[in-house]
Amino acid sequence: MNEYIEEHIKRHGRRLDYYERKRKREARSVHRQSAVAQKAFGLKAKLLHAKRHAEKVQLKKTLKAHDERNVKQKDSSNVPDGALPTFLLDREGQKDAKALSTAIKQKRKDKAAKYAVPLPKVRGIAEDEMFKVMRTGKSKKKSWKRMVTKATFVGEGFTRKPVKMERFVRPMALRYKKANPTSRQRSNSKFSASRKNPQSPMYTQLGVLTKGTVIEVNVSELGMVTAGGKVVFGKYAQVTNNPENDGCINAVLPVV
Amino acid sequence: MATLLPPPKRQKLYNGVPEPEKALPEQSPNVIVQFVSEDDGSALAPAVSLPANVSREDLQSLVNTLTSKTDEPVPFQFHVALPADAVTNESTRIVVSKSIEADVLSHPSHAFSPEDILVVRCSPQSVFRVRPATRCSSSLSGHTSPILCASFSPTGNLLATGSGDTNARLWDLFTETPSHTLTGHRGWVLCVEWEALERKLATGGHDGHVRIWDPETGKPIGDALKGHTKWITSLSWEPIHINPSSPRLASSSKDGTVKVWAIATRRLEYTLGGHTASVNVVRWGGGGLNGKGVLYTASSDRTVRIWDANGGKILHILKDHAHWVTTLSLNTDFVLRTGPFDHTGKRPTSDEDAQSRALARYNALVSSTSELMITGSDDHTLFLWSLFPSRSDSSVPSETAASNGGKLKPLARLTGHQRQVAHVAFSPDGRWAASAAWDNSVRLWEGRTGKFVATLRGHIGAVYRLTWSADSRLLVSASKDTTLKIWDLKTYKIKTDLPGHTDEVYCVDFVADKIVSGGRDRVVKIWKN
Repeated sequence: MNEYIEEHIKRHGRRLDYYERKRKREARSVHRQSAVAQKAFGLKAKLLHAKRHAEKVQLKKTLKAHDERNVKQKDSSNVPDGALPTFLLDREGQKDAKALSTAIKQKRKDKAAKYAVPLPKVRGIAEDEMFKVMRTGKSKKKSWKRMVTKATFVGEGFTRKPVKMERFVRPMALRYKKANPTSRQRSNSKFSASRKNPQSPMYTQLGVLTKGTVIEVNVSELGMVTAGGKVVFGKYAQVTNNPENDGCINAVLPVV
Repeated sequence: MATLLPPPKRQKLYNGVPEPEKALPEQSPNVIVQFVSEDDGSALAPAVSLPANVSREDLQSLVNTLTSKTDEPVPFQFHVALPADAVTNESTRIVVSKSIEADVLSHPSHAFSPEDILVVRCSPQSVFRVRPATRCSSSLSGHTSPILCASFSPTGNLLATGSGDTNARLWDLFTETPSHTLTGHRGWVLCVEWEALERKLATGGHDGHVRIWDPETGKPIGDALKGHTKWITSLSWEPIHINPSSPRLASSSKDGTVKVWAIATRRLEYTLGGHTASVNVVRWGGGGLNGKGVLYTASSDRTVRIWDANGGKILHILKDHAHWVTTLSLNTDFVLRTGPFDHTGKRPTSDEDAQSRALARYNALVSSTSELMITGSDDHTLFLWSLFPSRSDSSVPSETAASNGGKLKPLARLTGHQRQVAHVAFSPDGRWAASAAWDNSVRLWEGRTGKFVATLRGHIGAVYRLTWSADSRLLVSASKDTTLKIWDLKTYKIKTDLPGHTDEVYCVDFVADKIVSGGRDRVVKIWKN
């Protein structure tokens, strides 16, 4: 409670000269503030000046903004990009792989962007990380056999060599045939080959799938066509994750 | 001593190979054929017995002699309807392209034997023939943004395209060069429409303005017609046979209204309100009440409305679709669009001449069937309507509606598409209707009954637009998969594939023997034979 002043104002109203006094006080307040600012010294002065400076900057900005609003300007005819015919205008959100493909086509046309893969740099993987030495022989003295510790792609119809000849073993548990290539449409597609491992040609030969490896993905269900009107079945994509850690292969379709 | 036999006759050699023995004329079964008119199902002549290997051309001359009314032979298309148990999902009829033996008797379904009486349906075709396009004759660049609409002028001398760069362009088709750039819109140019006498061109933009241009000089006629608050979705001119001197223009907009403009006075004549969502298509029909013209509108509020073009009174509301009605086509579209110009290439001398010619062309088309309308919707179906069965009497549709409890009945519901219908187009003679859909297929329907005829498969992207050749023998489809395809209506397969665009094709138009297409790759391509 104790709101006796408010109660009084409600009952009897303000003093008759209240608003005039208030206006005058406010009008004088800049003078008072400036007098204070001139007399202040020390740290307090520093803080006060900083504050007043910031206020002044803000004030000027606001004034400028108001000026711009009041000045009549020529209509900057900004026509939005991405024109669509009437029959597609209301169908936003039905985008698909084509947006990506057009963007990339445009880039290629401009010749500004040289052909580049999405992951241009990869972490080098040394042989001792890639392979685990398998000890063979009766007393496990020989160590010429290696086991690949990364995910691999093994082509169809691959038959393992006889035990004596098999220098590299690619474990069954780390073999992959499915990838999740990302474009606007997500699809789980079978991939048909591992085309290039940037680490080394030997890894390419072994079909090792590490981050940055280029794979060929079946994109027939994305419905892409070449300039000649033929359906595109295979597309190159680049692996974007560490398959041996994640247990799956994610990839991006760089060039459509 | 025995007499010597004469030496064997020297054999004639053809490039070192003896002449092959002349094949005996192949035995061919006789079949009894009943020729029946496609239009009304009446027999053209008594049933005749003829060898099954009579070629199609001979059949044609036979039918012409049997039915001879005039001296000029009429080309016919012959087909046999498949029995109900042999109808496939792909087609419901066999078209005779070589002979009855080759096509009907050896049809893989084995539905017919020589013992049957074959009912061969004959549909007369146009006396002129359009050569199918096979090559791209020119790629015209100039637009700096996707091309959204393209339209040939009624005579086929000029081409107008509208683009996302806010310009419309006129192209000269004799030389295939740019002729004028029409600058003025403040937004994308979404639709272009020619007046049927080729005196004016109307464009509608994303800025909600309609502009009128003089195609001769490429200059605007006055300022923009302002009034719509959202973009223009479609434009339609008043038919020439109703108003040859200064046809009015109807514009439909996303804002749910249709406005009719008197172009001579540049004033808004009236506004058709009532639709509660975007009006997607407007068409100005030539029939209606006492043949005075009628407006058909299709809207996203799921209704199709029919309006009296004089005064804008609403006549009917058709509420049968379950989703947006996105496309609408009349069987008179082609005739209304081309007005007095037919394949003979004569120019009308005066407005009256133009009117009488246009009316004659219109009447020739609606003499057999009335003005039909097909509406296509996002509910994957189409409806075929005959709203004014009798041209003179206005009360007929209302009476039939009253007997159905105030609801007009469609002639047919055309089902089969598996995705939204993108476009529907009647062939110029009104015998066929083709519908394109987002399910990558084009379906062909009988234009008068709405019966399913065939599915045309081959596109691998959504099919956006369709267009027919003037002789109704060729159908062209434009698709998201960057190609145009010309369809063979005898085998229901691709006749010619026209690749070349590097991105989606948004618009296609066909006049004389030229096809024009434009799309997202900003290039106008002209295809011809």
